Amino acid sequence: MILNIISKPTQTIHRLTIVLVTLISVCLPSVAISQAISLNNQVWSAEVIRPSGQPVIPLFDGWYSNPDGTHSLCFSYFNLNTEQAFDIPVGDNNQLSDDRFNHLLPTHFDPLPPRYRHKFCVFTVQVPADFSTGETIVWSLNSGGETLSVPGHIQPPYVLDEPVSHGRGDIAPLVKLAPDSAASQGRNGVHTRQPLQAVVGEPLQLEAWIEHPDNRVWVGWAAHSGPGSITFDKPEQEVDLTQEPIGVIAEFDTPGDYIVRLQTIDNIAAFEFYCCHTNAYYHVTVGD
Amino acid sequence: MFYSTRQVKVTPLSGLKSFGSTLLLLALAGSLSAQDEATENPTYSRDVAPILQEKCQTCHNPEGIGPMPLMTYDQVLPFAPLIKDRVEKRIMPPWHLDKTTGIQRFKNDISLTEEQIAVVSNWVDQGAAEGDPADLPTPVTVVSGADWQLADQLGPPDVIIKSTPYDVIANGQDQWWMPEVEFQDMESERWLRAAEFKPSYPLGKKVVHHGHAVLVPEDGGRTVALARYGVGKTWEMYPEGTGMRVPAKGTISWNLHYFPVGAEGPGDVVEVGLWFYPHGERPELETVGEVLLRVDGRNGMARGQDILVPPHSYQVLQGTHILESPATIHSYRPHLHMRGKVMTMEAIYPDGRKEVLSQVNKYNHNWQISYMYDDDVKPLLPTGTILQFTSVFDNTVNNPLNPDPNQWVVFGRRGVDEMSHAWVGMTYMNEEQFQQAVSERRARSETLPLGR
Repeated sequence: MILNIISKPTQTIHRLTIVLVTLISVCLPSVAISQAISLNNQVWSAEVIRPSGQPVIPLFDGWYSNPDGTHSLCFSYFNLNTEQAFDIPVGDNNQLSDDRFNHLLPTHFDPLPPRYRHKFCVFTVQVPADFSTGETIVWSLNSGGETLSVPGHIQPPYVLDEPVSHGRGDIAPLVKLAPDSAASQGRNGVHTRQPLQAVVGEPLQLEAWIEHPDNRVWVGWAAHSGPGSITFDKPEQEVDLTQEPIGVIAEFDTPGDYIVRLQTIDNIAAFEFYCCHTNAYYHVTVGD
Repeated sequence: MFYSTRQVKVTPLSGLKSFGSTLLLLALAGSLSAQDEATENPTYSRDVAPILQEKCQTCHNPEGIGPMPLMTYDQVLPFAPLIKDRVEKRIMPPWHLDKTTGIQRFKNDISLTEEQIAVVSNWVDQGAAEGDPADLPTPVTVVSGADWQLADQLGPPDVIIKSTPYDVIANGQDQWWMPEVEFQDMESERWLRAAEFKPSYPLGKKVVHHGHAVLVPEDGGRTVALARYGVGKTWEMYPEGTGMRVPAKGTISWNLHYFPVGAEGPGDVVEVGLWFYPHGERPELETVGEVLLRVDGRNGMARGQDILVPPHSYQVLQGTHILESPATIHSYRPHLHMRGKVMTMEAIYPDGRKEVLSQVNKYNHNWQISYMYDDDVKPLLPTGTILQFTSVFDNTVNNPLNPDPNQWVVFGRRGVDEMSHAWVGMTYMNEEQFQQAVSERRARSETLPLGR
């Protein structure tokens, strides 16, 4: 299927105007037939990004080794919709090939960030030290059409810097979710020690204590999993770290157990270098 | 097409007298006989060594980036079957341009002709004989990787700028080294004639995949890309009468992409050599050098947001750019990553005609070749021309560079992610300059050989 989207060029060559985008995707009759571009219930066209109706793509960002010899596989997602969010409970439509690792699977998938391309490394799967380069952990996700999947592995081309990138001199922020708790750095993430308690419809202050040599970082909060919707007063912030603590006000619309994900990096543009950000997860129990 | 001199009128035989024609045909017959001999019974000394000397030894010398020297018969013989395989498949020498469409005359064309490939192939098939050493061509002096490649033509650089030292890691993720260095080397602005990007030798030649050295002027003016580098593109020399204005003071913003390949070392430094027009001399045309033209995204879209190559699939992207003033293009350098396979640059002229200027159809991420047009055929493009770029990603098992065809591939800085843009050497003109260039092109075309 080939569709062209053409708009009138209006800017100079200096401004690098893009006026035409064509996308052709050809599915080979191979093992990945379920990953075909011609999704049965999708309209796939040159206009990959749309307000709604497009799928969420599961992505594998790469892997890194931990000090204890284990390895972490980093998964992310690319919601091709600018307005449509998805909630996909863990189960047949949202699962890992080894369900021992399902506990941190996201179930909420935000629309495409306006300034960026996809949600980088929203969760990691920690595999044992003897996990071989031939083994995979596959994440399968069905957002309403066909099941799309992606394998995570520890093959060398996909190795990630963690938590420091020596070339760029970058380092992941150090994060605590309570002033007296241990700090964590990098994508494995830090979790609240005890679930926070909240009430439906009432604001909950979520705080973080962040350190970074630049004293200025980007911080984003997002719904990671849970039975209902969460709203944030300032879901993205560029913050001065000398003004502690950093926080956001969250409000939940349905009772149940939630995870709120915090991501922080020195600069949002640094995501495309695949290093160095820190994940943090607030576990929240919401009552009536 | 007119603007790129396809209408070349040369008829070399039609005006000859019959006697002259006879002599010419005899000469041609003799030449063909020698050529047949070379093709059918080639020897290393007489037939193969000249080809290696012309097309291979720049890299395949003891101090070159090639993995083995190919300077002598003894060095070449063990690799003869491999050489045959690589040249027949046109893997070597690296030249990834489609030879069946677009402009075909370049200043830096190192590709083999069909006849040269036949010579090498037959030589190997017939036992790879050495032949008479007396037939060997005069050895050439190869330039060390530690030396400036342009020094033979231009002498030592007028100014050398250096990055700050970087400790190269052997293995791991791609690394980006982006120091900023003060530039206070000149008393007044100068006009750049040529620039060469020189990673350290031998380590830097192995690990610096590509890089940029951009001058941010002290006076806040437009940034000036002094030099851009990729494996396979080390230097740029502007056509006669064309130069780049370089302010006297500022800061050099380096962007060096190191690709770990198992080699490590402390304190790697990259240098850029700058050659200027003489003091006080201002060239007629001001070039902006290589311009980045995106082949992804749309207005308002984050860069590369529309790059999404499904597993075991292909994706095609197009991007167009309109010229608001006349321009000439002196070089073309596609930039994709491991799934990149094709990038085509076409011109859509104001009258609606469309033609392929160049098409790279065997793109290889390990090389970043800049295709430098011969001055007589470089595109001359009027105001309103639309440059249309088409890139193709191959995320299938058919792509030998594909690290994992089961992945969904999106935009990113790493080699395993994708990008889609072209670096196009661009010189803008005013209408008067353009008309003059067209007139000169017309006049020269009377004496040009046929073909592009």
